[in-house]
Amino acid sequence: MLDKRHQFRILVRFFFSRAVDLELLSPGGEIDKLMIQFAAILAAFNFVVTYILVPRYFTSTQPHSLLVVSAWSDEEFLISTTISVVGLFIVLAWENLLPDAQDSLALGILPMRTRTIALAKVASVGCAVGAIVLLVNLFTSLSYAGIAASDSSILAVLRTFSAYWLTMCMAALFTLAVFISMQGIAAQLLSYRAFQRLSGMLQLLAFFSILAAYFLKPQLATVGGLTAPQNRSWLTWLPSYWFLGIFQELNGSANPILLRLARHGWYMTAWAITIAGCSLSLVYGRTIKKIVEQPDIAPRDRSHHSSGALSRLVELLCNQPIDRALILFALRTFVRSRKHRLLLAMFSGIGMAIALAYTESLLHGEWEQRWNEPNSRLLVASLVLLFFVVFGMRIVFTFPYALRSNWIFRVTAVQRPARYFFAVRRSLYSLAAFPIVTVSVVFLLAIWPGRPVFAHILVLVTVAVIVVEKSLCGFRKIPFACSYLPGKANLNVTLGGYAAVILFAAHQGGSLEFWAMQRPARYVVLLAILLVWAIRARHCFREFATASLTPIQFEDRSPTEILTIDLRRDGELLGGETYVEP
Amino acid sequence: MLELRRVSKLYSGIPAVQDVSFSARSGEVTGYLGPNGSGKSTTMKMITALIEPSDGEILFDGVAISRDRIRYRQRFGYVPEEPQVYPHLTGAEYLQMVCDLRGLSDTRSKAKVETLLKLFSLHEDRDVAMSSYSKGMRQKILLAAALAHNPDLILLDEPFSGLDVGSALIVRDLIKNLAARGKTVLLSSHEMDTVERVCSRVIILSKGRIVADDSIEQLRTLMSLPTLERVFSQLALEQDTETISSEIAEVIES
Repeated sequence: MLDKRHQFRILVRFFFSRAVDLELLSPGGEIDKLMIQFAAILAAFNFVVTYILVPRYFTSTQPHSLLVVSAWSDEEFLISTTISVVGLFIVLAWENLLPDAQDSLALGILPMRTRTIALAKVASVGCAVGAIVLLVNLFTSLSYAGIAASDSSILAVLRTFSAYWLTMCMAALFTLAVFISMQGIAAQLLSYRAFQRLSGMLQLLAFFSILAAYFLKPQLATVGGLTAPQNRSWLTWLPSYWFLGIFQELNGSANPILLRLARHGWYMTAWAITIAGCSLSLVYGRTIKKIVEQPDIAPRDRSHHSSGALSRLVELLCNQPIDRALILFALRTFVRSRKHRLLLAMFSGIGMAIALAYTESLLHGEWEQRWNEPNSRLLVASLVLLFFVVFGMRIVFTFPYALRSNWIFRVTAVQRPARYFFAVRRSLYSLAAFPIVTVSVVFLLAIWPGRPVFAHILVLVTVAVIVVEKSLCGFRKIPFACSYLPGKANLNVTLGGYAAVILFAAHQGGSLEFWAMQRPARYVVLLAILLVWAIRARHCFREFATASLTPIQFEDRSPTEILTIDLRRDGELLGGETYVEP
Repeated sequence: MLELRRVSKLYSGIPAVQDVSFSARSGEVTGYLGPNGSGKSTTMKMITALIEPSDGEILFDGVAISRDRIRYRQRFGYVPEEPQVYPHLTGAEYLQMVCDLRGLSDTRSKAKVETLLKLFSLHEDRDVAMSSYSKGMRQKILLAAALAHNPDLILLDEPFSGLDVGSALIVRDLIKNLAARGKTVLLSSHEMDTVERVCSRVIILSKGRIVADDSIEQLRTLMSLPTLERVFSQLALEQDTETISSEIAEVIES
């Protein structure tokens, strides 16, 4: 006798364990350890927010009624943070929201109902989202229950506490429902193959939309902001304000503006849940059949014009076969591998978030500098983006695509290793530095006069050279072709450190550049220093690349581990090799 | 000529290949046979210099391959046992990449890629990602990639795996043709009929050790057995295949 509940529990555990592909980031490959670290980071973030926001309410001399109103902006911030963190988690778990070919083929043949699979999938994502909501609001829920309560009675505090949690859960549920609806509708309208292609783009779009909305949305949580007629369209489209209204309504507020926002919030949440439920039912009713009937991604013809044009462009730019091979391989892998795209999106997303945070005040006119005149904020933003994209791409290069296929690079490594290292450098220039410099040129030329743009681009290009050359010095791998030991770099700790250094360097660098741009002499000195640094960096890289007996690295293992399986001299060069000369 | 001298390979002290010595001459197809786990693929990987022998020496044309691995890599073509390719690349992209990596000139490699794709009946699928290729199609891509640079030594580990009858016949004749052109061919396969038709000499491996190294005719005569399959069963298989198959059938029915 089949026990449906037992099947459901097993499936929830199974789906929960693979909600996000964390293996790449896990220290020592231990998923549990990584999850605990993430949980600790979220809780610590909430603790810091509480430590910064809460004390001023207890030291304030304002009357309680005014204090409650001034807390609106913090409440909105907490709601939008919850929505954004949940949204980012859903973006990471994107492929596990709906059934995929693996589910359809592996679970479809087992004696269980499709409804059980669907419910288990939703429940597993729901559990993960619930845990995130809990961690992101752990300390603030306790403190804001005291601050936002209508009076100091236990009943009022309990009511605020319940309203807080209900609001956050509603906001998370709304976010989850929106993303499920988005995918579900796309899955219904498109063929499975077309959906798979679009899904990757939707995922990236969702990722950047969340960041842009979080950092660029205007601060309207004041009486003036909420009542101003020009803000009405903002309030209609920004969910964090609807849920601020819901929180206030549940907390007993009778403010008509907040009640109107709350009504809108309830209405939109109901719609989102209904659409998500319907699309999910249709997906499990129809899409699973579609998946089983169609091959996963086959046959996928790559002969479209963009691919051919790109190949011809690379052929035109690279006359060396080895350069062409590695640049095209890196480019194709990056374009076609969702995992690598998402990893880069993570790094560039952090960069973009910081850049947006820098420029936000310019957009809302809260800074003495103007956005359409040369200003240090946009200079810093472009430097931050450059740093994060180049370092992000450099890190993404280290993650293999199909490790078992890298034998082809091993058996065809017939030219001097330096040739491969130079080709890798060219790949990093082409895929990371060049696009950022191009985007910066186009964007800045659209808003600034030509001369300062030209001056900044000279600096940006020189900095790009320094960053690329320095980041590849010591890098002996072919992109996406070397094994990677999970957690070797302990990314979530190391990256935090690097991000802080990058941010500091970009901030100081941008400010210095803006200061130097005020006088030609200063600018010339700055550029001269950067040029010398860039030449030195190129020289260092050349020395590293052309050093004799530096082999290409295909195994990310320490020599002691190699010894134990007797691969003593694997990949070692002896000095008398006969290379193919280009 | 390819020569292995007392080659052994240990994985954490456990022998995979022990004391293997043989030579494969140019102009000949040498069969390298053995049951699963006997060490065939390990030997192949050592010959391709993908892994290092724990002991012994491998020579090609009298020179130890470890002396100049890079020069040696320019001279061999290898078809691995598992058709491991980058699935996100199309057949044409993969072949072009391999030609570029081998440093073949642009015009030469493009023409070769096109012709090889046509001859291997893959031209229609040249722009289709290899993730949607059948095993046979991947195998053909690997064969084309192994031969595109005109190697002197050809190492084929189960090259017929997944091929349809027509393609298998083409590959069989191609192997003989390449040997006739003076190439050294080392062929590992489980298909005894094909080995019997293609190879002039066979080496049989059992539990990492060579148990036979002779011409097929000589082996058949010596052991008074009609086919290579029977010779192989006698030398390399310890199990009574008929008894085991009937036992399996009984377990299924029980």
